[in-house]
Amino acid sequence: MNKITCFLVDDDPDDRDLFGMALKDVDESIELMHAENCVEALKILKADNVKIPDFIFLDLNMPFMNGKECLDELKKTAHLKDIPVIIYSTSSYAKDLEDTRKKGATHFLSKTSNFDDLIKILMALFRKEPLPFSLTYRN
Amino acid sequence: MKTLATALPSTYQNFDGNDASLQEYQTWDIIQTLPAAIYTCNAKGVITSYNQAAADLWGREPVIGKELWCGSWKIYHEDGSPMDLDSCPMAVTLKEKRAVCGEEIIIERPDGLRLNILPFPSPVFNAEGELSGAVNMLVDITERKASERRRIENEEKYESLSNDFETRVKEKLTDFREDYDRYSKMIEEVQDYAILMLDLDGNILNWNKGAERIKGYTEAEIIGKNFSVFYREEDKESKLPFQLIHEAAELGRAMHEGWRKRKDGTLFWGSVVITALHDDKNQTIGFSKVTRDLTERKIAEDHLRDYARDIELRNKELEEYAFIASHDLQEPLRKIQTFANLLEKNMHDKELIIKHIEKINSSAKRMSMLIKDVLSYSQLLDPSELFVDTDLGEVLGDVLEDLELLIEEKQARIILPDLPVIKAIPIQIHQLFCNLVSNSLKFTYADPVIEITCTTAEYKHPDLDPDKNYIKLSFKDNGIGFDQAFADKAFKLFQKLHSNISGTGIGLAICKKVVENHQGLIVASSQPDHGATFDIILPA
Repeated sequence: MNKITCFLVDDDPDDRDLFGMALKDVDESIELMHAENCVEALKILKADNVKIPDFIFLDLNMPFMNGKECLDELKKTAHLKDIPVIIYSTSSYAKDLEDTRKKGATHFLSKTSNFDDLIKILMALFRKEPLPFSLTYRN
Repeated sequence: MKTLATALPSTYQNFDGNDASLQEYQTWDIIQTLPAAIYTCNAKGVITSYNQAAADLWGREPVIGKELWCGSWKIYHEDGSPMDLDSCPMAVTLKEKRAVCGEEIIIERPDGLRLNILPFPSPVFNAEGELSGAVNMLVDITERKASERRRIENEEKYESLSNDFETRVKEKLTDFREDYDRYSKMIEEVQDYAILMLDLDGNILNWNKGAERIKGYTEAEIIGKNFSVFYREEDKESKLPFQLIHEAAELGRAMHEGWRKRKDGTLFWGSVVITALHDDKNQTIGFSKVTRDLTERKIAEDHLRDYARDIELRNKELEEYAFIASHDLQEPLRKIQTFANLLEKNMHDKELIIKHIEKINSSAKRMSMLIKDVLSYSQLLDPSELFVDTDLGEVLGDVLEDLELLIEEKQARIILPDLPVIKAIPIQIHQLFCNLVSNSLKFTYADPVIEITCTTAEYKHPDLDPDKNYIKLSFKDNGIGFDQAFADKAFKLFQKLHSNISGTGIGLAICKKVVENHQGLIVASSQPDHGATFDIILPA
């Protein structure tokens, strides 16, 4: 597995910690960049000489700009539009799934209460296994 | 002439053939052949001669020298009453020695036939001037009388026919007028419909009670005016009245529903049908216009629409709750589960145990906070709460008392104005003030200053009623502020402008809901690091 870079956009510090912990469990070498909100994320990703991440994990409900608006912006930007975007949200609301699929998200990963499930899904994802759009694990 | 001998006057019966006698005889011969009935009597009334025409008239031949006065047996007066023979006109002439003229009698012949006769008896005197007899000419006027009678009868018949016809025409006319009157009366008395006639230009020609009731004008006020007076200014400007009669002229009929103006300027919802009226040559000569006042129906429909909109709004609110349930309330719950899960896996690492338990505690606290806030937000959706006179100063005092510990802790300075009493829901105003003040205390650097002002300055906004008075409350702080671009978003449920500061994203949504419940406005203005100002406009 080549060295993978992930970019997480999430305003919740606990979730950022948990996600980091999960990534470490998958592979110590995975690099994690993060932003607390979409405005900040776009600023980083649109900067010169930025390292283009392999995956973007995007929360939906955030201050300033929400995840859906951020997704639109990413898909509009030439050097960002091909990066797979995985929606990473507590929501499992059908409308959110449908909206983000239409806007070009690759997967919809519901934040799970089971840490091991998260690790399993991330491993499958990084191995580029064929996965359904919705990566929700029901407890 | 077989009767000649018997009819010959007795005086001539001894005709001796001398010249005078011959002359007399010749004269009698002429008389005999005349078509007029003639006979003579001597001074005593004895019939002395008669001609053929007289015998034909009587239907008999009286015995000359024997029968008296008249050749007929039975005679009657003109009116049909019997007449004595010796009082007949001839008798009168002889007795009174004068001619009788124009006295009509009726004779009855032996065969029963009655004839109307006009006798003309004249006395005859001799050379000595003594009455020698009389000559009488009988004119049969039966035929004349009959035709006269027929004429009279015809005339009478004609007259009666004509009278009858006249009566019937009169009756028909009366019927027609009654029908017409009844019809006009019916139209006139109709109360629920304004029924009127318009000329080609839309000028009003007549008016009924319904029109007066619906539109408020009396007949005298409105006849001759143009029907466009019933239309609102904007409809007149868009030429709606003209369009409607144009359409009626083109298509025969035009229908329209819309607001119309009464005499007093108030509006009613009218349903209008304008129909073109045509003459025999199919030329449009005017219009009939029937208007119904459907205001009540319109209001009911509008209410229905409002209810539908209200239900839609409530559904939206329910959707918001679904969102809350699916998202925000789940988030702390998920964290509790996740950290409990991690705790289980790391039971040997005491440091991690403490860290995870802390996370579980803070998530549980956050969960409780969210539930409380959601509950208070949901209470704002109950429209049954009553507006009472509310002393805003008193409410603000209560809020500051509630927040006393926090204010002391932050060492905040609060500048207070005199606040008025307004019609409001006190508990909601409490929530509004509490959220605004605690926000200012939360998003702050050192030495927070919160300045509250109140003005009655006029404030113009499309959502505000220009006829109402408003007060403007401003909550201004010197805190961290936010980007003005996100000001509107701040009021949305669960929208947070700051990531790291504790908050549920409900506080400003509560503020907005309270202000909306009071038919007011809330506006945020801010610059990052330059504090924030929340302006609240409420009906005074």
